[in-house]
Amino acid sequence: MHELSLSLNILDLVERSVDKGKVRQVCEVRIEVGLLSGVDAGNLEEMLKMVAATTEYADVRWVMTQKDASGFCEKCCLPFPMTYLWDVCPRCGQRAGKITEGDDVEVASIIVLE
Amino acid sequence: MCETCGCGEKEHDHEDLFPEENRRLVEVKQSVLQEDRAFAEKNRQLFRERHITCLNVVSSPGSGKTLLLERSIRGLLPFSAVTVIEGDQQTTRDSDRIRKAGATAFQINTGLGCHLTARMIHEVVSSHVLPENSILFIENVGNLVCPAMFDLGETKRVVIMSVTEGDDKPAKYPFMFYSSDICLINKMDLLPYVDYSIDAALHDLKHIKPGMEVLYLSLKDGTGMGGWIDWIRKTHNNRP
Repeated sequence: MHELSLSLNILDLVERSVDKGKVRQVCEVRIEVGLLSGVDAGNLEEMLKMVAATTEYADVRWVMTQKDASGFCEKCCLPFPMTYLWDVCPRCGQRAGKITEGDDVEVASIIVLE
Repeated sequence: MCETCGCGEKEHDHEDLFPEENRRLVEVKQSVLQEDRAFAEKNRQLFRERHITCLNVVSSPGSGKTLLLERSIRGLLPFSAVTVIEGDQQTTRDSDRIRKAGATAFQINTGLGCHLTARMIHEVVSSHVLPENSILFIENVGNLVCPAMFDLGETKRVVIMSVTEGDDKPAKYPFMFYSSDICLINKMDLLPYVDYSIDAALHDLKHIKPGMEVLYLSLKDGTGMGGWIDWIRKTHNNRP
């Protein structure tokens, strides 16, 4: 599953984001999963738990939130909500020129114990 | 069981475990996918600078990706140097076949990985000098799900489905077909023997990606290969 490679990237990102000299423990990591990122939040959470199980992050609470998606119609200069990649502008019926939100997975914040 | 501390209670507050004065929120706001996307752009730029057309070939296992490349190499070598990056979990079987067909091949074994990443491609293309003005094929790991979401920096993405897989692949795996630029329907020589409706497949494909170009191939008897080679050459000549 690509959730495996993502989980490894997330652990690496968490590692780089904390000052180990000051932090006793990472308690919680909050992750936003875009609706159009192609990633299933539930699968990602399970994979994170599995991958972290043998590391210092074994007790971390992984909090997943879904981020809604939106695209931009270049013809109408109008943003519109999207549920699928192929959703169209509600005004002109054209496909989105670009996806402006919701196509990424982001580590939003970390709660640490100092 | 409480998932946070493992005690027998249901979820409960943990202020006693993590006293407020010791807890700190660290804002991160960093993309997990952006790093690989940056490698995709580096790949794209390298291909532009060296006038290389990169085709990312995707499909489920057994649709005919490697055989397509073997036949394509034969048709392209008179006009252009061809390089192939092969992606599989294990073995060098496919890259061995490609070298026998006459092209340069690099094998990436992903181990547990279910798709190639732009970083993997970058490691190959930045450490080997690919011929200028040439064709690069990337044969992705056989999988209609995961490779769809990962831009490798390709010029075009080619999705193959064979008539032996059933005509419902576009409906069942829409992300892959939406993200592709051309669809090859392969094993047309077997069409009389299987329950496959071209109309049904095209109907679903049209809903997901209207106007998508479709070519019909039989790698066994060569049907459609001329049109496919022409498409590659036209894509190469028309690249930005």
